[in-house]
Amino acid sequence: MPDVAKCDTLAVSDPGGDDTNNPRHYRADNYGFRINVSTTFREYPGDDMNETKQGLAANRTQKSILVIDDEEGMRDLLSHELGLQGYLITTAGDGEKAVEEMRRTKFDLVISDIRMPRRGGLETLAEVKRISPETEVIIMTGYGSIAAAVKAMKDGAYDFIQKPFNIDEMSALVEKALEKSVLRETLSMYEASKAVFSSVHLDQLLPIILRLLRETLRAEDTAVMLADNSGRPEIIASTGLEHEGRKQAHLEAAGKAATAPDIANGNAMVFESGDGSGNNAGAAVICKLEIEPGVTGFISANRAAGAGPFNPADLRGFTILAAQATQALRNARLYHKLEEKVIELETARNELIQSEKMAAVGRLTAGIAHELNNPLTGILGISELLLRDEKIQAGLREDIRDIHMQSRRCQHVIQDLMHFARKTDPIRETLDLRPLLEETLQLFKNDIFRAHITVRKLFPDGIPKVIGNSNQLKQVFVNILLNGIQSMEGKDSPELAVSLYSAKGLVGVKFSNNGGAIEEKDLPHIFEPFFTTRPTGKGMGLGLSVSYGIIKSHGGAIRAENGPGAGCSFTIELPEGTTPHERDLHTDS
Amino acid sequence: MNGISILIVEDEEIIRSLYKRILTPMGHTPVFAATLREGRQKLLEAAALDLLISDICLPDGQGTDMITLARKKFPAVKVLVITGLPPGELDDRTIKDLGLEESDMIFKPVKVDVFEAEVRKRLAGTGRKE
Repeated sequence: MPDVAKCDTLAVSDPGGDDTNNPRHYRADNYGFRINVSTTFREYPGDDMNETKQGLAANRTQKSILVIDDEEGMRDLLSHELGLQGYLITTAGDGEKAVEEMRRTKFDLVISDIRMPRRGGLETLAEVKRISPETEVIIMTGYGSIAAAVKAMKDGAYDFIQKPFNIDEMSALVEKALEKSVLRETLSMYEASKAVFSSVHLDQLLPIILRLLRETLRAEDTAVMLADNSGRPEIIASTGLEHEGRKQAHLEAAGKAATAPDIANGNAMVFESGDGSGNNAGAAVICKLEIEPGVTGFISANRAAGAGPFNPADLRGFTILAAQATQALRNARLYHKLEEKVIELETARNELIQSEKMAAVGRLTAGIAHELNNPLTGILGISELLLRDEKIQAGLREDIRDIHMQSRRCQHVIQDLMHFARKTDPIRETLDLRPLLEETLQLFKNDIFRAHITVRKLFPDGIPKVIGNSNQLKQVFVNILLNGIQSMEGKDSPELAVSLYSAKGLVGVKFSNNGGAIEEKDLPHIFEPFFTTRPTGKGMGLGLSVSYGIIKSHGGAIRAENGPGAGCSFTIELPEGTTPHERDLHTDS
Repeated sequence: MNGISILIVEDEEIIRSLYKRILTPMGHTPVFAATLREGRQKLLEAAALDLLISDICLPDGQGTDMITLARKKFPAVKVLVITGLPPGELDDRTIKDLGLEESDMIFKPVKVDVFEAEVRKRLAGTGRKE
């Protein structure tokens, strides 16, 4: 998976743009999600939903209305009349107070006078629309303020009503305005759900969830957390959690929510916001997301001090968002698993094709070698006998010697081929690869010196031993090093890197050089016998095949890759192990 | 006849002739068989057998069967396997079951002096004169 990296923490630029100096952090190590680091979040889907994403609360039983008028009589009248009709009424005597209320609570409707001291109706309207764009505003005007009313309509007021008005007229208008606001909320819920389900990639999904949390709940800091079977939650994405105290408050809330029985059914739980003031009670909420057995998620949101507690509508919106986030995270996980499976299958298929091919070539090679060994036995044997015969004259003897020498060459080719085709090898010992590599590099001392090759060795301590045949493995190292050194001929600042590593019961050796990449079309063939990219006469193309055969017979794997940079690398992996004999020696001591 | 009895089972004519050219100067008169069937026949006729030299891949079967049969009739028989198969083709288990050592297997093409040495080594303990 070359373009995918698992990472612990990932700072991401804020696509919303309103708090760019407020980095968000994402963590998703052990939860089976995929983070695609190469993606930037500037254009994630759902970014175009603009103003309609607030207020996920619909169908709530009691609508809240803010009445703003400097005349106490008018406030009382509307309070009383609309209160009778089941609305929840809050009143404010001027624009300043109204804005304070707005910041604290979310209203479905604002009814505002246009002429007021301190902050006029038009100014108040602008502020209301800024704080809560989807809240409808009805403007009340007196005689002579029609022009202002028209301006208010242009500025986003729902309608205006002239004083004095009939209370029935007002009721009808309120009802109509609220209907529109319900529609609007349904739409915003639809938009939010569209946004949440727009991506199956966690790295895109998390910013969307965070943003919806922030905007729906007018929260200052938000978090998405995950907990595995151990039950300890971790923050995988957050905004505004730079203070350790806040962070701890979210984590503690998740810890409590994990076991609280009453939030199991998607209910929200209110928690202490952790700002230490204690005067912000009810302004932090958390919801548990049952993603799948063994993986629990949490979303939490906390309002700024003084912004007021969450009302039932907020909580309702929050739980709806929680349900959607749960499903979206499930999808992300499933998608990630599916993706992994596909990659796994593809790799397995390629390996199967490759090993089938090599096995076929191996059988062919073994067959040819076997067939050639018989005639060769005759030629070599008879020529050897003839060379022993002292009666044979000098000229003829020379010819026979030539026949013998050329046959020996054939024998060596066949022996190499048999190495490639060999199944098992009897001579095995416990080996430390490091001295073996040092020894092999020593063989190339002169070549390395002459070609000014920089050699980088990375041989960490504590690499386990392997079981193998030191001569054969040395032969493999020689073949690979020879290949690398030849490929760097005439290149500027040639560099050779040899590193040892161990992982998952395997010991690996990686040889990299900057002698140019192997052509992609050649990569699948380079271990085939007689495959060579060099001009005829410069190597037979058996070195890598022999290496392949040797590594296979050691129960290991060998592969070639291009990059990074202008080069290629060969990696050999052998199962770590100690021969039974060696083990006995160690247990004795 | 020097009393040493050698049976060689090898399907390649040129190789049989090579073995003969090596063994004759050493004073031996080996009996040859080109197939497993022929080898069995020769084994049946033999009154004694000191050394069996056998290939593994035979046109009508495996040289391993030849070894088993020879051991049955002549438990003390020495065996030398000369095969064109790559080393490792016969697994350790089979070799052990045949009562053979790694060193009882040599691989083609075999050098003349190696062949001579291996034969000599195996006949050294037969108690008969060469």
